[in-house]
Amino acid sequence: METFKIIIDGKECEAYPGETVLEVAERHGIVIPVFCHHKELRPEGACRVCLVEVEGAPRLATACTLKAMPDMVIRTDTERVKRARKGVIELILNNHTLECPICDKSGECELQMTGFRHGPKKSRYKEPRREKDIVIKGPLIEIDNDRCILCRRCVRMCGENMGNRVLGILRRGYQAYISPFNGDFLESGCEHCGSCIDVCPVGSLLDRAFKYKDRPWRMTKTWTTCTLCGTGCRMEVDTYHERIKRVVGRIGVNDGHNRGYLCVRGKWGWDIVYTDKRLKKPLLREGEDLKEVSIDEAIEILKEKVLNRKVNLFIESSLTNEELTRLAAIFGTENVASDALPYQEALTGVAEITGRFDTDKLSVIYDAEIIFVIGDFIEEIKADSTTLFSNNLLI
Amino acid sequence: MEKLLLRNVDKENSHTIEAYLRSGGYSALRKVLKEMTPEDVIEEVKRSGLRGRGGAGFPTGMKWEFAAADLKEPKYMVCNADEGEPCTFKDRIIIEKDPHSMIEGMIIGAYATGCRYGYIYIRGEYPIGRKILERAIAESYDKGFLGENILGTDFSFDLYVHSGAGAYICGEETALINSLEGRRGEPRIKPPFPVNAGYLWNPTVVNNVETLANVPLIIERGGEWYASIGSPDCPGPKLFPVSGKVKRPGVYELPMGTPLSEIIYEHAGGIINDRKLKLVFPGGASSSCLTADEIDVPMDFPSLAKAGTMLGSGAIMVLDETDCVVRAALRLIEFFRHESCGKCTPCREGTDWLVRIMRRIENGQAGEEDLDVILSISETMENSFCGLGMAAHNPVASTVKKFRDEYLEHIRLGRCPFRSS
Repeated sequence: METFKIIIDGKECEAYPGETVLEVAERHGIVIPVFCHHKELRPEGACRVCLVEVEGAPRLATACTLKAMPDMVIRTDTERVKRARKGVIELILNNHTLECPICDKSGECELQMTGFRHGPKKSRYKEPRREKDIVIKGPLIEIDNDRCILCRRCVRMCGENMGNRVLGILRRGYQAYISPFNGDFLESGCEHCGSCIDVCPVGSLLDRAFKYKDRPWRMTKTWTTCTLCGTGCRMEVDTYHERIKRVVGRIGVNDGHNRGYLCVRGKWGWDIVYTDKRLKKPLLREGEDLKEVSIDEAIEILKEKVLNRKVNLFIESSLTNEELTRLAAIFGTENVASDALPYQEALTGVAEITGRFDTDKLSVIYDAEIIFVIGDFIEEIKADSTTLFSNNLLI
Repeated sequence: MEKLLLRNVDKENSHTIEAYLRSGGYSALRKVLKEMTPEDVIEEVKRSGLRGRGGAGFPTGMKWEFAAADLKEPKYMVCNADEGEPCTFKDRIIIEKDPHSMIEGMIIGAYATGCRYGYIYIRGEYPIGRKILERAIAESYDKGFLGENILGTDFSFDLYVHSGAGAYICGEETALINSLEGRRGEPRIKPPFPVNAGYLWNPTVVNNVETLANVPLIIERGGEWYASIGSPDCPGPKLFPVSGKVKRPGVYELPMGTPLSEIIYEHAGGIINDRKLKLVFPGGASSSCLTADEIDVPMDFPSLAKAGTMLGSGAIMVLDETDCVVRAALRLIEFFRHESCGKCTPCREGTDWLVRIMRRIENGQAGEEDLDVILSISETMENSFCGLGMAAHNPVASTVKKFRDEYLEHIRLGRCPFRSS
């Protein structure tokens, strides 16, 4: 693609057509503070923090909505820009509750960081803090509107990227607040993907399972793959003293094929690790009692019982490759049935017509122009694929 | 001066098509459809120098030209009848007394720009206006001025009325389009401008009622005649709604560039009880105020911009010496706080903060440093998303600058000097 040059803070930057100034600056390591903009979302221009000075323009412009044009000269560090930025951050902070000590986001809060770097050092606000006192609790998500800075990332994430349109803004002006449309998450059709929590720059959208559980800065962050189905989404598991506290997708940072989008299972399903119903070792029934045995022992016993009998193995289609390899090693690959069989037949049929049929990486969905969905219960078996689909279709 | 925009309003049943036809109505449309190409119409409007009467003063001919140049179909013509500014009631008189002049202007505009469908977005508080418009549109359909193949030509145009739900912000063109689409009434990012991506992301021409009412005049009598009226930079007749402490408040039709003092003292009859004039808001509630010494300014876009304020909708609000400036500014900023959509931070938080400070000043609980805070908030609000936030601080900031003594008086006395208790 053809590129052109723009100058930001005296530094020559390469820009692609259609890029915004903010994107160009980010790529070249120039930090412009912003709340409403998110890498995965369309520009909104609502928070007015990313103001920059454009040579030749009378007003300051927001970098997140400003398209880069050849030979543009941008300044992000003049006194005028700093003063305007400080003014806007002051306005945001005026009525923001100072609940940082008990806020889940404290430590990874964008308002804290931006306020620290670019905000005013002293507030001039003498009025009593305006309290909305509207807390909306769903089964897994909670919205605390007093902490909300109305950047609308969650609204856009829910409506534009996930295609759910659960979250919206009620009332207007200084009374505006975020809410599911009829005040209830379940009734509004929330799928609990948790993407809104992930993109919230402050502690307004909360993971209820994590609320008051731990502090972000002292947890160990481990990047891993979700094992709850075969899709293999990448996610960050936060632990403290080797105990899982929460799972986050980190939309915009995550480089897995799911790009940080998780489903309800991935986001909140981690608690099965600690359930008392979970089998940690194979159990052998002896009369009334159950005896713990080792896994090899268990397999031997199993082999004894099934050997020389007509055995069929029925496996679920969402098992991971590792699980399948293990099963194949023990039971061989004969006499295996799966609910994926009809799909295989369908795919064979397709292959007969087209000549070949290769499976591809899941992330190619993002580049597809048309997606054929074969089998309509895909929502039930692959919550994450649905997320990918809706994400792709609605962007 | 000869009445042009208000030529019909005094006639009996002026809102009916019979009365409008009797006074030569729809002859401009006939002329356009029979004798002129769309390019001719745009050329004529450009020659007239007509500038939008809604507040921004964008040249109408240029807007039409941009829309006509866009290739996307279908195109939409939207009439902005969401006249929400306090003390503005100029469009109402056209809607209620002479709706056909505006409908005719709209059809001509649609022909010039190639629009297939039209919407009149009328504010929710004008239910009578809505009824009159609906009736007028039905009459136009009956006479064949609307619908398919208008007057036997290939040109078709359908017109609908859409009622707003009472939000001031929907007078902003992109918010109006959002509202028309059924979304939340909030401004969109510009660019792309509505002429390229408006209603349903198709090219959309948004014109004010008064602008459209000017169009038949321009076609009938020619752009050059129109350009000779009023000030040369932005010519034409203009409706000035005058309200406040004047002897004869009302809508006055005068050429652009009429001095403000002439409007107040000659046409509106001067101040009630011949008291002294204190300040004037020359362009609606969101304009900066002018003091008694500054009112010799001609009422047109460039002159008022030079005077540090703006023409806006042309609504003149007059306050006399018995009025409290702080109270007036408080009332106006309360309006803007209520009407801010809440999308951008400066407008949402700035208006609320200003209201709170102004209330303290009015109640005598403020300090002198609060005035500096007001000016600094107003500076931040300049960076708002849309025109509402950019202008909302004007009544407060301008009065603080020009009537600082009165503010200090409030602070010193600890109460409002204009109230007895």
